[in-house]
Amino acid sequence: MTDFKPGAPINFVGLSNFKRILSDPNFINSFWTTLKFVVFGVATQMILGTLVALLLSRQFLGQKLWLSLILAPMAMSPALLGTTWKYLLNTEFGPINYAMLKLGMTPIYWFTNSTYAFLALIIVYTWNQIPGVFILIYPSIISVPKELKEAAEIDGANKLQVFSHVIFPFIRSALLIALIFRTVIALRAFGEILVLTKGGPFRATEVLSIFLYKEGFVYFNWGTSAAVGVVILLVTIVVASPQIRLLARQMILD
Amino acid sequence: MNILNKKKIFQSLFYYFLLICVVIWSIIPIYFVVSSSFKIPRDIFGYPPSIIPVETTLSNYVNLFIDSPEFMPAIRNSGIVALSSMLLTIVICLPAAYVFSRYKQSLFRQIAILLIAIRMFPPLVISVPLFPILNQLKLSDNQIILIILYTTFEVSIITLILKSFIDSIPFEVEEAAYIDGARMDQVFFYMILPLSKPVLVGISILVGTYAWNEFQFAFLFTSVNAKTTPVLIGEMVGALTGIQWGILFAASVVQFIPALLFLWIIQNQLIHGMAVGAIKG
Repeated sequence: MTDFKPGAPINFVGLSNFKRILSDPNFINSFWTTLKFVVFGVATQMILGTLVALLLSRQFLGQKLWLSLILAPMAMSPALLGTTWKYLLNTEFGPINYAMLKLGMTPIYWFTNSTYAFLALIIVYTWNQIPGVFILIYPSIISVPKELKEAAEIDGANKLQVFSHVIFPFIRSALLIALIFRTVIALRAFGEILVLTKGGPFRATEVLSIFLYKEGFVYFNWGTSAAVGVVILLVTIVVASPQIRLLARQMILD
Repeated sequence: MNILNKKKIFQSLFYYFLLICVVIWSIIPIYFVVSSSFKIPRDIFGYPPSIIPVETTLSNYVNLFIDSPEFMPAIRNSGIVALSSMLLTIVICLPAAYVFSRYKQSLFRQIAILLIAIRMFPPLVISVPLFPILNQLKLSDNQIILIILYTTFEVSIITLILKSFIDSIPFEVEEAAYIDGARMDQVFFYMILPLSKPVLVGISILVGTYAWNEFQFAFLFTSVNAKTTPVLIGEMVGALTGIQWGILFAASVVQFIPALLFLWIIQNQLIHGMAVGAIKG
């Protein structure tokens, strides 16, 4: 809440930093981009992560090896994630555009078109985060007693019914925890976006964390940058409070 | 063979097919980076992109280690930071977890709840107020600040994991030791510490991998002396003079392999022991 800039005297400016960011169209843009990123990014990773966990709960031959391979993406550093996909999605020599060409589609300029850049970010982020959802859901899925599933199948339930009536009640709380935790993580995504797109093109992938970084560490507007930080913190608190309350209650009970 | 059996076999083949699809989706990007690191420049940019290197070469690695003067120091910095954060976290967390587990006064419980809240705190938010302070203290571009920051952000969750582990050690064993006249520090060092060893290995790897891979703090708070490998890789991608993909792929592989091996070592613990409050970031 000050107008701090390196070398200049510090003045208390009340809420004016918040007024400034709220009237800044770039802040509003990055707020909506964050919302879009979190909603789409978390939704795809939750759905795919749960599906992968369901598939793996069938216990294949060589289960351990498959698990190792499926978890591999989560060992990637954000910087490496950005690098890898910048190559894969490269318009001139990237394998993905080549494959698309072979399949009869027109190559996409992933990082110069706003819509495609955002789509690329969602794909990359999902690829990286699926294992994170997986390790939270998989243990609770394999804890569902086999007899229950078999009994339901004998009674003539189809796959969808088995999932919604037998498996879902078992994994509901794990899903909720995963949802909250993945949202909190998505809200702080920074490195992968910076390396992949730098927030561009035309601020299409500029989420709040990138906006904060640019305000503070590029333009040295520490005051507004800190105000953006407070906004991120508030959103995080709202999202995380049910889980904190839940864990707190467990903590008190045991 | 009756119809029912045929249907079963067909079904299981279908599931194996799905499994293969998921596995390919997971590892193809990694495979491309690794295989490209062994390609000569002409093949990296070759069209169509070759899946198996046409001509394998180690020249990218040779160039990386010899011509890139920044790489070895970056690897060394990452190693120092990862190892130190690991040790510091354990030294802080094990005693704390022991106290949280064995002493159930309400004050400790409230602090434990605070730990969960801290886990949710976005790291970027803290870097803005921290930056001027670190400059004043001449701590920016210094490995020490990275070690402190990484430890700070891991302490909360690691303490909780260790607490739930110590909860599972029956107190009766300790009681017997106390009756025999053991002091608390003896119980801690001769009973709790050895019993915790397997968990400590997993946790060390968790913290180490986090510190080894971390980008944001390292990117914001280091410039020359303490630069870590992820930051260097980020810089190589953003190089204004054009990206040297060959060297970049080699650097990526060297950075990635330890993280992947660590992940595989703790894989079982990660899947089965981590229901405690949603772990990885």
